Amino acid sequence: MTSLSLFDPSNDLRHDASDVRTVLVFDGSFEGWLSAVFYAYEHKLVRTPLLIKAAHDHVDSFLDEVVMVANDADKATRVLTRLQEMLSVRDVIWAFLSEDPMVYTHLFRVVVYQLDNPHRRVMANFAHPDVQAVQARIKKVGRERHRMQAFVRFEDTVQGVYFAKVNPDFNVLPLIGDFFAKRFADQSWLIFDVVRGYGIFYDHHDPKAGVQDIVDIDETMLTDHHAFHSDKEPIYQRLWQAYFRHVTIKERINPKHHIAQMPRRYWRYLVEKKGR
Amino acid sequence: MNHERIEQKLSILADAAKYDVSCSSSGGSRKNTGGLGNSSKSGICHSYTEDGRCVSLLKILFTNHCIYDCAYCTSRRSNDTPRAAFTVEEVVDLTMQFYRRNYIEGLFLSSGIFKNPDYTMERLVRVAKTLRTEHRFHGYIHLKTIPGASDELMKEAGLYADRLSVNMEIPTKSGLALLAPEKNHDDMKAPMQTVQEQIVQFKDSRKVHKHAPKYTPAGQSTQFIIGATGETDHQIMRLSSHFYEKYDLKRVYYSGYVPMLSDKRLPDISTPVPLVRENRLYQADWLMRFYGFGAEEIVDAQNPFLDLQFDPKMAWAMRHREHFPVNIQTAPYEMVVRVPGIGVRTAKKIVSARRFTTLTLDHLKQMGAAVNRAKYFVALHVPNPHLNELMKDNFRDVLLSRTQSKFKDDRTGQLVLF
Repeated sequence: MTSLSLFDPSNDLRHDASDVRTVLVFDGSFEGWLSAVFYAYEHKLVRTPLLIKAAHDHVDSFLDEVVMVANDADKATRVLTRLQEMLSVRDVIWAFLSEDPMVYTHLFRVVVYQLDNPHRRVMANFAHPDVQAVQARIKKVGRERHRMQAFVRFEDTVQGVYFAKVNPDFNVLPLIGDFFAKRFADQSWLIFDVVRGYGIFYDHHDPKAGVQDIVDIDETMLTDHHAFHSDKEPIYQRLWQAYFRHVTIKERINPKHHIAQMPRRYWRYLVEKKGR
Repeated sequence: MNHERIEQKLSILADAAKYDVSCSSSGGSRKNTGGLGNSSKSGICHSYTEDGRCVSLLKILFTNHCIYDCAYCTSRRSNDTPRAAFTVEEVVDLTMQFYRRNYIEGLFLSSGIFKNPDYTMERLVRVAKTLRTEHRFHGYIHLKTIPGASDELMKEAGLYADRLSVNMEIPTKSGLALLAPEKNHDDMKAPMQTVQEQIVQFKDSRKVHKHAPKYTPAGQSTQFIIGATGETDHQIMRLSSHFYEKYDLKRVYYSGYVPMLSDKRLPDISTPVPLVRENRLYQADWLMRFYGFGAEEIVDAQNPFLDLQFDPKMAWAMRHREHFPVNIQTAPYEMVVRVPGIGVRTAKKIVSARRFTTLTLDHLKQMGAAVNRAKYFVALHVPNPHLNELMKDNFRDVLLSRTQSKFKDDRTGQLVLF
């Protein structure tokens, strides 16, 4: 409770020029962020107005004292171990994957808040500004994850791999691999994130290998995937499009609701919305 | 397979199935034990039609040939419409291929009744059985139970399906007698009874044998058509509540009647679909299932219709102002969740957060409450000026003048009818 006012975000927005703010910059990886948390405690910066930023978001400002924090696997592990005792690591990782420029600082403040109140589950305090910010991002990431489970459209290829391209708002591939591996255990599949330039791959001949990250794929798979379609693929796409047309009740058309549920940015890779 | 012919069949039989509004694939928890697919508790909507309904399952009729002549149904015998029938293999192939591409959560198979109930039901069961045993498919399967089919078939169906349902369609006996003289309510309830008994029996045997098979793990559901006969909301809610209690139904669906056939017994073909009423019924249904309301609290003999201007919780709160204001800091969860504008999730957050902090209206807003409604009904640690309105005689008018609604045009359109 004592930390509540101290970590009101408005405090560090209103700080005057004499009050130099420290910005810890990490490389953008989860390990990097954990290293930055360690650094803050190690250098007794916890009670100062402090920001933690990913290198790709960081813009220099002459008012700030900037520290580049190096990754340190050992320190990161120590922080993670401590976090696991007090917070849900799932929560932390989901919020982290939102890639929101402010989330690293909010998460850090939640960690501080939790360590200050070791006997309470602080994530249940929905009135706390940082908890709220972190919960909101968990919700966003969760929703995007769910949408990817829904909107991935596999296309059967001549290589015998079911292939899908996606463009999620957040980096959710690490959160869906397990779901697809369990559900589509008897087929090989590849889901490629065209925004972030990597994919996840599952080989049903070698289930022990699990879900693997994949960076190198044939360029033409991305530019002209039709060339790789199996014979049957166009047929089932047509059938699905026909089905989609005929389940609509014309007397009840409601475009606003339709778009709210299935935002336009996903249409590009949805078979049933192709060419619309 | 001739894919052009299949496309024709799919078009006809998806068209005929679309008035069945049930779409959910939730409540199941089937694991993938070697093979394809599983079903998750929350269900997944893979697409949305242009009328905004979710597409979760491949929802088709096995055939739209039917021996019955129910006035409200497009597949009725006397309707001049193209007819088609799938083969078992065709339905199985479509399900597997759509599932592999992540288009669907599974299959929703209903059917017109051809030859006789057993002949029809036998085919539906064969589809489910082929999927489960030959193709090791563990996705979601929802089968229609055909009234009049034998108990044996019904029992077998539940071993392969995640959910079974029989649509009551017409909520009143008199309405059914008028529109579907060949059917009666008791015959339609019989399969529900059988399924319910089986569920209980299998649950018991699972207590003893952990590996005893599951029987319709996602339970059963039904559907009412709204606005085809003169039924009241009071009658509908009482019936739903009866089904939830007596048959342990997982869902009751409400389908606003879409006039598509001209018949003296039915509303005129130009009648608008009662969308607002349908929406209010779903809200009322949610109040019964998740908010601890009883059917008689929502509508009663004096107020047999739901208020189209306000959501049912708001309407209840206006009739029962003696329960308010609710103190947000101290009231039990059961009362917090009854405040208009506060849903289940927000109520849980409130109860959780108030152990840390004294809550304000701002906090409620940040936690997701619709403060524009909730503010008239809550007591805070500081005086709440909005509470003055609550005691006024013209409270309803005050609210109405301050409410923006996307339904405003529809509402006035509807009200003229009464």
